[in-house]
This record gives sequence, C-alpha cells and structure tokens, in this order.
Amino acid sequence: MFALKEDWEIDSPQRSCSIEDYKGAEARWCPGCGDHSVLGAVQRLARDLKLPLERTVMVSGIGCSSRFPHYMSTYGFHGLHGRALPVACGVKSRRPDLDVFVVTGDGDCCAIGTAHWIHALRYNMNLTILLLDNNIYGLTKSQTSPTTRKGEKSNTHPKGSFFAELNPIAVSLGIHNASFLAQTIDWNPPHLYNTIRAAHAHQGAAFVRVLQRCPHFTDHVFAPAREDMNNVLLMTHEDGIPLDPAVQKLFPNRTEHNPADRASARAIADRTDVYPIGLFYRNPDAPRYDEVTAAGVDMAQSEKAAAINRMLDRFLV
Amino acid sequence: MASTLEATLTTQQLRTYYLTGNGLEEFTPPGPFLSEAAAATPISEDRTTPVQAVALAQIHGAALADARQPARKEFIHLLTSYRDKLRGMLDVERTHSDAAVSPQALRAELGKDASQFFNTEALSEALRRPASGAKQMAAARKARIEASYAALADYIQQDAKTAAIIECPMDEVLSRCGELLDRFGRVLQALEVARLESESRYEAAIHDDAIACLDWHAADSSRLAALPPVVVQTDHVSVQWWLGRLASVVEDRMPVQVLVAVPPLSRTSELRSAVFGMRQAFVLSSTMGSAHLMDGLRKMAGVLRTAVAFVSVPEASDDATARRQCGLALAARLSPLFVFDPEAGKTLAEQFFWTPVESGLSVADAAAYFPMARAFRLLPDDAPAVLPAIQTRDRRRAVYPAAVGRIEVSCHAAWRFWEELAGVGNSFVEVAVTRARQEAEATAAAKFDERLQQARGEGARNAVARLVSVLTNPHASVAGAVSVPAAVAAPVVAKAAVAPVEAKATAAVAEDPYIDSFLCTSCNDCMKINPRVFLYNADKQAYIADASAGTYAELVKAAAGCPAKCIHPGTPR
Repeated sequence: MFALKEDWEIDSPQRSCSIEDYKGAEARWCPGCGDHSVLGAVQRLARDLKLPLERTVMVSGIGCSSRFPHYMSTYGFHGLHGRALPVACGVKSRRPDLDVFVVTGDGDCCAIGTAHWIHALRYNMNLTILLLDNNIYGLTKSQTSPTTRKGEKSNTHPKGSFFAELNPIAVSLGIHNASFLAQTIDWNPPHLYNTIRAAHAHQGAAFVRVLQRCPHFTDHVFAPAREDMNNVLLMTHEDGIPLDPAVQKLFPNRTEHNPADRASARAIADRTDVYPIGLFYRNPDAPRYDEVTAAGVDMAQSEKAAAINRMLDRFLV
Repeated sequence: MASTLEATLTTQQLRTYYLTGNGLEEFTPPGPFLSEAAAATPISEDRTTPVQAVALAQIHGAALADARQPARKEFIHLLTSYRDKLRGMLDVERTHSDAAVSPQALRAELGKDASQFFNTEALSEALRRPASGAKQMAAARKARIEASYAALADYIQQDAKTAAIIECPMDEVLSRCGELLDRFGRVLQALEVARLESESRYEAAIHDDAIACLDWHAADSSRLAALPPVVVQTDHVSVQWWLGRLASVVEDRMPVQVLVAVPPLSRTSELRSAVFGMRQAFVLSSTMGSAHLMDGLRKMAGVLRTAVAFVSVPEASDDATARRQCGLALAARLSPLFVFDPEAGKTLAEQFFWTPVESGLSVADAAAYFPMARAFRLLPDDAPAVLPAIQTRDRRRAVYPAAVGRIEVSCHAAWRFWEELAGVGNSFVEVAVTRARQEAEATAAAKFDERLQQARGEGARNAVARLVSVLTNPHASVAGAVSVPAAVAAPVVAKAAVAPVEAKATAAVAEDPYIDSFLCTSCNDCMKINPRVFLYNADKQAYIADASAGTYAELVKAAAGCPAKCIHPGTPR
C-alpha cells in the first residue's frame, strides 16, 4: 500500500516461524483428548501461513474446547458461556484487519449460544469458527448436550438422553446466508488440517464441526468410526477439501459431492449410518456484514467530525 | 525552362554544396517543388491530427494530465488523511498535558457563565492526578510526530500551489528537478513515520535509520506518478549544447520529460543515437501529424524515468502546407519512427519498437518541398554530373533537375541504421536465419535417415522370423506374425544360460518400530509412557527418537493406546 520498492521496504514481510512461536501455556487437556489434535493443526496452520501473532485472535466461550486461547501465544478472549460468537463479531467489526478464530463447543455453541450461532452465520463476517463437538459437557463432568445421541447416559440423564441429537450441519444448512459448512474428524490430522486451512482461506464465516474424541466421557461414541473407517464417508470434489491421494486411500467409503449443491448437502448431512466429512456447502458470493461495519474505521477524527456534521446539516432549519 | 539559371556551375561549387549545403543560393528560384513521385503520392486528408509545432506541447500536456493526475490526487488524499490522523493524535496528547487542565484552560472551556460555579483551581488540581492512567507521549515520539505532521502539511500546501506541469528550460532542469525530488523524499519519510505511528508500531531502534535512508529512489512507480511532471521543451540545437546535462539527468533516472522539436531535414540522428546509447532513457522518435506520435506520447506520459521525444515538426505556418510537409516527411521517411522503452523488457528485441513505412518515395523526393534553401538546389541543365540529382516540377509544371545534398544522404543512412537495429535488412539476422534453417534441415535429414535405417532393420527381422516359422512349422499360417527379439536375427544362436533358482533361506528380519507421524493427533499419550522414546517433530507430531531408550512393552502399550493407530511397535529384538 505504501508503494516503496521491494528492496526499500521497512517492514520485512519475511518471517521465520516455528510451532514454538505459537505455543502458549502447556495444554492441560486429558491425554487422548481430540482437542490436542485441533490445537496442533491450528498451530501448524499459523506457522505455515506465518500469521502475525499480534494480528491473530482466538475467541472462545466456556468448556474444554474453550481453553484454547490459553494454549496459543496469539491474542485471545476467553469469554462467557455461549458468547464466543458475538465477541468475535464485535472484534471483527471494529478491527477488520485482525484474523479471528472462534473455538467453541457443542454446549457453548448449540445450547446456550444458539441464537448467536444462527446470526453469526447470517452475518457471514470473516471468521474461522471451530465447533469442537465431543457430544457432552465435559468440563463440568458429563451433562447431556444438544449433540448427545439419543439414549446416551450422563449425569443429567442417567437413564439416557430423551431426544435425538441436534445436527449442527443440518441446522446451519437452513441458514440462508451461511457460506462455508464443513465437518471433519480429529483423528485424521491431514484432513483436519486441510479443512481448517480451507476454512481460514474462505472469505466469510467458515463453520467447521470437528468430531472430537473425549477419552474420559464419550470414548465409545466415536470408537466405531476410529476402528473401522468404513463408518466415515469422505466427500470429495475438486472444489471441496483437498486431500493427498495417499491419505484418501485411508477412507474406503467415498462419495463425490459438489459443495455448491445445497440439496445434496442436506441429504448427506441427514445420514445417520455414517459420519460424513468434507465440505458440505460453500458460497463465496454471500454478502458479508463486516464489509459494512468496517466502513469508517480508518477515518481520522476530523473526517469523522466532518461526516457527522454533514449528516446533522440535513436537519438544519 | 526558366531563364534565370544561366550562370556556369563548377564542380567545386557542387562539391562544396554537397558537403556544406551552401553555395548554390543563386540557383534556387522560390519553391516549393515536388518531385514526380512526391506529387503522385496522396497525402492523408485526416484533418483531426494536429500538425502545427505549437500543438506538440498541448498534445503532450493532455497525455500527461490523463496519466498522472489521478495518482497525484490520490497521493494528496493519502497525505491529507495521515496528516489528520497525526493531528488527532497530537490533539489527544494536548488534553493529557498540564496546560490543558490549567485553571485558565478550564475557565475557557467551561465558559464565563459555567465557570462561576466551579473552583477551577481545585478542579485543575484534581484533574492533574493520574487517576485515569493516561500517560503522556515520550518527548522523542512527540517531536517525531510533530515533524512528520509539519512535513505532510507543508507538502500538501506546496502541491496546491504547484502547476499541473512544471515547465523549465534545459539549463535549470537539474536544479529544479533535484529540489522537487528532495522535497518528495522528505515527504516519503514523513509518510512512513505517520503510518507507523498511527498504528503504534514505530520502534526507534529499527525504524530511525531505515527511514533516514529513504529518498525518492525508494518510491515505486505508483508513488512517482504522483509527482508533478517536469517538462523541458527545447530544440535540437539546445540539446546538442546541453548534452552533458541531459546525460546526468538520464543517468540518475530523474522523471523528466524532454520534447525536442527538430526540423524535418536535419542531422539529429546523431542526437537520437547519443540519447539512445545511454540505454537508460525512454526515447521516442516521430513526426507531427502521425498516429505514431499520438501513441508514442501517450506511452511517454506514463514513463517515470527520463523520457526524450525527438519530433519532426513542419516549418510552415499555414495548416495546409504544414499538413503536406508532415505527410511527405512520413512518406519519405525523413525521420525514423521508433520507441525505445528500457522498462519493456531485458533484451533489445523487447525494448525497441520499430514502425516500418512502406513507400516509394525517397528522402530527396520530399526534400524538394521544404523551403529549406540550404537543403536543396536547382541545377542548370548543363551542371556537371557529380552529385545525385532528381527531377522536380514547380507549380507551372516546369521541370528542373535538383541537387541532392549530404543532408538527404545522411537522413537516408540514419533511417537505414535504425531499421537495421530493428532487425530489418540486418545481415547478422539474415546469416542467423540461414544458419538456423540449415541446421533444421540437417536435423530433419538425420532423423529421416535414422528412421529409414530402423524401418529397414525391422523389415529384415520380420522377414527372417517368417522364414524361420515356415521352415520349422510348415503347417502353420504364414501370415501369423511372430514377435522375435532382435537377437534372433543374428546368425549365431545363443544358448540361454539358465541359472538355477535356488530357494534362499529367508532369515527372519527384525522390523523396526516406526510411527506414521502425519497421522499423529498430538495427544501426548505416548509421551506420558516414555518421553525419551517418543518426541514431537517440527510439526508437533510424534516420532520414535530412540527405540532403545525404552522397552518393547512400552512400545506395544503406546501402540495399543494410540487413538490414531499410527504407532507400529515392530518385532521384539
């Protein structure tokens, strides 16, 4: 923007980064927790894209997942239960230059935070939203969450959950301005990394549901999918999540799905016999609310005063 | 024939004329004259293209305005925005100072009526306490912001008073342009300071020296385009005189545009060559009244290094004669039409753009038309034939032989020089093309021979194979093709040596333990078992650092517990 010749540039664009640069505190999740895998993937992404620490923000709510900002050395906001998304939208609206990640859980996003979730996807502000779904409230020691399967026992439902689980992807497909919906698994790091990377690259609200193991409370839930990859359905397409052919071979069960096809995405999302992973839906042309909210951010005080005066002059008598 | 041409013309006079262009004045009745060929050449009736010399500066000025005004406006807008941001920062800083909360300042802010309700001394004392935690700017930072603000404000003010184009004579170009560029360098420094300070990213240890080194050379093309263009309008005599100064301007790549008006018949080819030879300047050579000139000036207006245009301008004051002169100058190739743009590429082929002219006219045909008494002389019929000459007619269709001087010959030679540079009629190019063609033919011939040999060999082999199959199995179909390796065609039948395959006793091979690191989910499970055996690599995924640092049982336990099933313990040793 400041148009100096490259060899005169004052701010060197070249950084040398390692994962160590992005490590915050020691991660205290249980050994075997899927959150470690997501943390590793996000740190690798930050290293590979050389994300500036001072311009990256992790926003979270409450839950095991929401310990995330503490374990990254970027800026972070560990907020109230269910309120990760409105905080993230606020950050984005006044600091559009910041790279905002939202890390939330199934309870945080799909229970108390449902209203914010719906509208955050509608606003389609440029965020990377990671829903770490372990099908339980884990931090508070085993309560049924909206994504807990029917019949699963927990401290709140010792006889088993009464309702069928809510499907975050199916719900998100019903939000008309949602622009990027993907699902992945934490026990395949290449697919996890590529999904998060594609989500980060998307210009808009990229919603990624990560099926995440909880070795303490819900280890049995995803065990069949881990033991037998036939229980996972890999969606492939040239516009989908790219995956190395060698890694694709680990998924014997594959289907071709065009992310522009919303109807087909709904049909796949509704399947209960397999866990579909990949990119369900993408719309790069969906309008973004942060393009409106960022107007005037870079104005000087005198310009703002002049603009306000012009508005007030319309009512001059 | 006119009876005025009666004096005897000597060979010496003719030679003197050829060399100097002088000495035959008495033989020249008033013209203009046209050769037969020139008279037959139609001149373009396009009256929209300006042909008068005065129009050159106007066309160039319009092209410059198109090319530069938007960038200049955008730059001033950017400076204004940063100036206002800095002023905002200084205003905020002023409110933190003691002077802003002095009793007098408070009384002024509250106003006469309200201030009677306040004890302004006590209020001032209370406001001075650092309750809000607002800190004042460091003195060095404040001085830097104030200096930057002043530099930006000054440049904006100066720019408003500066004309769209700065015209200056050749003798002042170094000083005037130098002054403009120095001021521009200072504003670039101020702009960098403003940008970093407004984002609170200025670090004196890193940026002080880096910014002090910035000058106009650091600006890229989008910034340089914001400079008011400096234009020098001159003629070829002046350029000859100030060639050294022009060389300094070119060498430093100062963004100066030089318009050199040259008469149609002159020896400016040397000047063109001299400026072209500097290899750093944009050079345009063209003629008034041509589309080539319009395109060339448009291109030149966007050039941000030194650009020199040699433009052949007519000498007539009336439009019709000037138009005819321009048309003839073009058709007779009086001045070469080219553009040399050093930024268009790395090789001459990419930088040099030649415009050919197809015409049956020679330089001498057009020269008759120009009222340059020095360039052309009519000869009496009995003049000694020691000069090239052409036939001309006057308005009354009377025919005269006319002498061609050295100037016309040098014009033609100049045209040929530039044409050869462009690769037209260039003997090096012709030799290279011939050689390339010969090499291609030789390669094709060699390939053809090789294929012919191959085909012959294959044919012979197939024939032998069929013969063998017929002789060994007379009942089999002759048409069946037998695929035989090339060795069968050899007269000696080789015995195939069959080595007995011995079953090797396979010894049991111990498999080493390994991890498919790319599948590791970084869950720390294996590290909890043995942190010396399992380590993380640069991607924070596990690998086996030292298998001997732990037991086989630990490897198996880690493999069993690994959620990604990426640990392979191998076989026990």
